[in-house]
Amino acid sequence: MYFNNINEPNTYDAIVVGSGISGGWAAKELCEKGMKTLVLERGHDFKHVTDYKTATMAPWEFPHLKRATRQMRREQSVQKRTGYTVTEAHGYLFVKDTEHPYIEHKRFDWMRGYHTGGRSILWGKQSYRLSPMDFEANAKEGIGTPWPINYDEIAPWYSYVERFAGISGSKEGLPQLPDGDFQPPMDLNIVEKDVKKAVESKWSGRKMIIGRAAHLTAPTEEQTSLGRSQCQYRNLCMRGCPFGAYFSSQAATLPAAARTGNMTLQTHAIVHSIIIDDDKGRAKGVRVIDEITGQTTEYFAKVIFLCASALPSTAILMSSTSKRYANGMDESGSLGRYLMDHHLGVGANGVFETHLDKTTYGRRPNGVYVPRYRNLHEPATDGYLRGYGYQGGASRQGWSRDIEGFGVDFKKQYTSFGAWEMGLGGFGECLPYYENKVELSKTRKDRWGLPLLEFDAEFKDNEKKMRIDMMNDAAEMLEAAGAKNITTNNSTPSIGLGIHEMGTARMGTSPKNSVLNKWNQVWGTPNVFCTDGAFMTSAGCQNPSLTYMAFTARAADYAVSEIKKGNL
Amino acid sequence: MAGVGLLLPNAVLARTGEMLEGTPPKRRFFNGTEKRIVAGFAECVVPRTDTPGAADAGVPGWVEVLVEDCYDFDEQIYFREGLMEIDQAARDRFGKRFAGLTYDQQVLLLTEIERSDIALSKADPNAQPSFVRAFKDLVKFVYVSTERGANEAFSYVAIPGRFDGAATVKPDTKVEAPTF
Repeated sequence: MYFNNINEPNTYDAIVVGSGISGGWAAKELCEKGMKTLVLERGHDFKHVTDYKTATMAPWEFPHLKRATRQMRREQSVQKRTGYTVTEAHGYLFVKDTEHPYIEHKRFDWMRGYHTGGRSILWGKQSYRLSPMDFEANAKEGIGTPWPINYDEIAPWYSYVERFAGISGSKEGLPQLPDGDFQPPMDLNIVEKDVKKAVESKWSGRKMIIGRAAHLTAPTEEQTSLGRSQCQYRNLCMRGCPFGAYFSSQAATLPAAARTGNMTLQTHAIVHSIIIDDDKGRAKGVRVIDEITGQTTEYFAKVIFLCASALPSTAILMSSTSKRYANGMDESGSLGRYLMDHHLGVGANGVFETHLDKTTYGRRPNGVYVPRYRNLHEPATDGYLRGYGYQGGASRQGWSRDIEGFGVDFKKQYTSFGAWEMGLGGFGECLPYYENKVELSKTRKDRWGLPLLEFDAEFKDNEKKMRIDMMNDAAEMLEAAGAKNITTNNSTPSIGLGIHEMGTARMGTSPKNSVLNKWNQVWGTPNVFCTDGAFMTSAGCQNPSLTYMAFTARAADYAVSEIKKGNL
Repeated sequence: MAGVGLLLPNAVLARTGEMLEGTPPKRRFFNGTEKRIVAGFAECVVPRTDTPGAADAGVPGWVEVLVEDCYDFDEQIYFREGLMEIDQAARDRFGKRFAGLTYDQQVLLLTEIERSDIALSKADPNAQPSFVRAFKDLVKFVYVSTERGANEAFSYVAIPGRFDGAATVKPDTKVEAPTF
């Protein structure tokens, strides 16, 4: 039996590395189950509401009307690649690339938020379950490695996290997109309803639904007790929500953890590696570098949850060496491999000249979703494997539309409503390729002495083939609904632009084919769990954060029960 | 009238109560000629009607701030060259510099340049982008982001509180000013 004396300094029952979407969940679950938990956040603190400096600012209150200055673009030369990251409103919540460099052998777009809550402040809030076919695809197609867990095992945990987080959505009964425990769905607008009708009547296999979004539409007592209230339709989410209306660590999981009295949150704490005891086959704790002073400190715990975000967690596993783990905490050769993301930047737009007597009121932070309809039956018949979904929406064109002319007549049009415009943008699944990898640089280090990450990954043939359908299908759906002036796009994205990095420490059925087992435990070191995107064995086309939440809650439950049984 | 706002002393503006609310800090990036072209151009895009014009909303000052702080150095050069080309076009067309034209002449000049730029880009997709169109887009963005523009010519709603996907457009319903 292995135990720590928690009266020793720097010793806790549990350590959670990272306070983002999965770390916050680990903190909540472990604390609520009675574990004295140290949460180590590498960045600065970012307190709910009081630190949301820009949350209620009007555009003219910003020194540059929210536009990025030259200096901001210089300091955030990678973060600006999305086109919407670097603004005065929320750019400060993304890293300065000058302070956090990395190496790209092929272009890799890495968007990061290093502060309490991480990207749970910045995410899109789209929340979808993986489905049975997603968990079965690798095994059926002989791609990657089989998932060691099936949908039925994770389904109750999806419900569990949905209820706490608060997911609004509609029940649709689709096998490829299982229903969840939902709060009332947001509304489609009048044009979206027309398009939905047209698409669903023309293609019996296609559906257009309101997005499933982690925004409160009918707060529960539990959510209200945490200080959260329902969405106010401001759509300024990335600045932090003073209403706690969308799910973030700040609004939900961290206050839940804190009110147990069991959480210690330490910021500016960069985890370098795990301290391994080869004889006991356990981790003892972690080595932490202070972000500000550079000083190294060791912390100890019975169990460690790596929730640092997929790539930093993998980097920690790679840096954690011992006699047994000469090349990092993996004996399968898959650590750092099978890096995935969703590929976007493909779809269509069209104009509708109907309902010119109607517009929308309120800025809905959500859009339509078209669940996957391709390759739902074995074998795949569309010329590629797997599939894609769409996000999108319609809105009344306004001030920014193209109007010719100057003077009073121009101003009249500029300040009047244009037609409706609708767009559909695809989110495509990426296969797990061995060649898509991240490694630690052998020569270059950052200013804390940590090796830089080196990326060599790209979207390949299956993704490229899929994108042709993604583009054409979007256009044909808009056309079926009567759209005019349809334009299409099919860009060439790099991995990372989807901001859904997945894989590099995949779970599997054996220590010979994977880094983690079905409980997210590192093979051979059962008191280390990794529950952020690194564990993903395949990507699906669904936004992955809800899945990270579910797996984290399940793993934490398992960890505590194992501790109680004396196994950890 | 084009450029009038910037030629009046601040004392006058203070009495009228216009211009001073929500005005950006004064800059010395543009020279006098450039400031006059910027102000005149902005007023041609958004003249004062029953709602504020560009000068009323502080647009010329904001344009200067954004070009000075946000544009890349080559973009700044391109912008200043574009202003000089407008002055030259005014001389070619009317024999006077842009700031010396009447308002109607300025509107006519810019309309003609824009029309010809559009025809050029249709004929040749690789044609140089239109400065007049780009500057117009900037003015559109700036105006709708100002306090007076957003609140008086458009509708600025800080906290909608709800979503209505089929709100009726009434005669007095204004287009929403963006917040993102």
